[in-house]
Amino acid sequence: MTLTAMPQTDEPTTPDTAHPFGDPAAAARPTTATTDKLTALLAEVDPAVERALTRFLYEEVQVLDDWKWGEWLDFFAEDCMYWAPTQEDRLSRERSKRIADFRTSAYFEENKVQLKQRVDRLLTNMAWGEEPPSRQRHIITNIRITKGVAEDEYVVKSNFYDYRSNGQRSQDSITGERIDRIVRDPSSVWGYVIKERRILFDMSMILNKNLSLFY
Amino acid sequence: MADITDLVDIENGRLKGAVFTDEEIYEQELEKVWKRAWVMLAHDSMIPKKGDFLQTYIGEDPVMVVRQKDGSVKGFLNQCRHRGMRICRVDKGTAKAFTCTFHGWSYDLGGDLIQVPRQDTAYPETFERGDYSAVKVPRIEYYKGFWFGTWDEDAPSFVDYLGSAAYYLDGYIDRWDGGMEQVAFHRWVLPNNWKFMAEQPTSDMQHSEITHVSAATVLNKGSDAADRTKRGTNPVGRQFFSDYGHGGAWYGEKGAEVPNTGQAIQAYESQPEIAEMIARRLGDDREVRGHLNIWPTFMVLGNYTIRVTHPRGPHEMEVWAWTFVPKDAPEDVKDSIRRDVLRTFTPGGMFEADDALNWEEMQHVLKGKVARDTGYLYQMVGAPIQWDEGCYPGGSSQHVFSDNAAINMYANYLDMMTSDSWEELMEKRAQHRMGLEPASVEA
Repeated sequence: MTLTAMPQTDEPTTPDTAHPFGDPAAAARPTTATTDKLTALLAEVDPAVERALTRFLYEEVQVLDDWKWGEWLDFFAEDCMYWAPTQEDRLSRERSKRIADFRTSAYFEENKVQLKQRVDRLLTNMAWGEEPPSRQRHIITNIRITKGVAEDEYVVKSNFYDYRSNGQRSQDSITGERIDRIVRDPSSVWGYVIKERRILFDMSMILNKNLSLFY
Repeated sequence: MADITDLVDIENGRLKGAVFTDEEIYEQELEKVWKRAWVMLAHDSMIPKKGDFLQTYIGEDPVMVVRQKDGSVKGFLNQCRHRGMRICRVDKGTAKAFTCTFHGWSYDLGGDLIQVPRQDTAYPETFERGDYSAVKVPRIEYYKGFWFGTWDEDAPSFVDYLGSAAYYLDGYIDRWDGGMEQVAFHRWVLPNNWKFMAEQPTSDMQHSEITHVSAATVLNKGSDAADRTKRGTNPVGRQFFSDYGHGGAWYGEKGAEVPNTGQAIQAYESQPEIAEMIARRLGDDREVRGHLNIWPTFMVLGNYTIRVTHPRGPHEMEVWAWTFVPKDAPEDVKDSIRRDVLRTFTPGGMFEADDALNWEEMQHVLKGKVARDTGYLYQMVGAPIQWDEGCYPGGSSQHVFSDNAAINMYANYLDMMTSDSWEELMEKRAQHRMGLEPASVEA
């Protein structure tokens, strides 16, 4: 789906159901161990690609930390889905219901038009919650890259610690895990684009006053 | 001891900042407001089946709300009678009983104590389990899909508590034969006094054109949100208020092309058979949707975020917000409403983000002694109060921008804080009706 084909109302982008969040290539891995797990994981992705995607994630958050909201959109595919489900505390026997399903409770469920809308809001210079802008610092760690189902497609898991300082005394931080589906796109600004991002915040109740930036 | 009557000046529309910061005032609020008011506990769709439960709060008190085997709903304090441990520590689920994880006391779905480990051998024969049920919420009433509770046995019925506000609340929640259901839930914490938020849906539409200018500017493009830019420079509308502090306002009048709801819901409701259903249920002219608050903190917004907030000391609050949809609407309409709410009035919502900043800064500023004494002004009272005007019951003003409902909210607050019983409160509220001479109330 391309941007021009997208309706002007915010029709949802459906995540590729053949490609659920998680580790879609797991089924393709040999179940009888011909080698140890780590060697198998490392063999899945070319080290040069691993290095490129790691740098890609670092460059992405640098753009955010530098308040270049408009340039941040370059990291996303035109048919992307940027999704952050909620979670809550459940009994152990109901724990599979802990994370909200797609199209239920979410902090973000954005296609590219909608991401751009959020960017445009910040760029009005009248988004008072971020004017003057917060000093945000994204720390991206624990990057794990496995291959996706399609050629030149990768599943990239990472953890984040995002700190925000606003004004003189206001500060907060939030941690979580991201699962990105990233594809090679030589015609894009960075050579790769994010098709899907699932952000799982670790809080069941958001203890920060808002989630007005990007994660 | 802090005296609330020194801090609230209804006649001149002034509040001292200590109303929002003082620890003693807050303790009095827990006693006089939160132990007395009706608070929304659950909607049918949150706990549809027997044994379904959720954990919520009335004020600072944690409450279990449980669907009973007979279909009714009961509530009880989520505190073990033994040593005060929280009985249930998950947000929601389905259960047959609740067992405290400290010493193992077990309670049934209604909160009655049904098992005490070692009772046979270690407790005297005189120990009666029946004496130690969890503290029950003594009054629970059902209103159009929602369950409300109060700790005060002498409170008026919920319908009497709503008073004229029922007309306006029904305009949001009683439109469709199939009722409503909740489809999303968000919870977050804000670093400010709970009354800052309560005041806003009650009485403050005017902040929106300044605070939310960035969201209003971008949201009409490529989005299902209402196009707020159509409201023009001097929008017409109306504000209402009711005896026990409720209030709200909406843009436009009957037939005016000024949306308060998202585009999908407007399209859905303009279908002839749906429009006919709404007219049959509500009459032909009850388009009153904008913002509304049922005191203290049951809030309903026109795009169908419905929320309760819980106080957490004078300086902090929690928001518990659900997204509601007409149960019988097509899936695409429901999904559109859900996405509109998540992108506007949730922690990541483009409106909510800027509200949070205002309240945080106001709370910070009130650390100053001079700032606390300067206080706040409520003098936007240019639109006169009308009573039972046209189809609009109770007090209302023919302007969407007015402080009348805020003043009424604080007048009710002052009466609650200075009354020792519901009986006394009801008398004071009848005497203090704004815009009406007391004599005409009696007549």
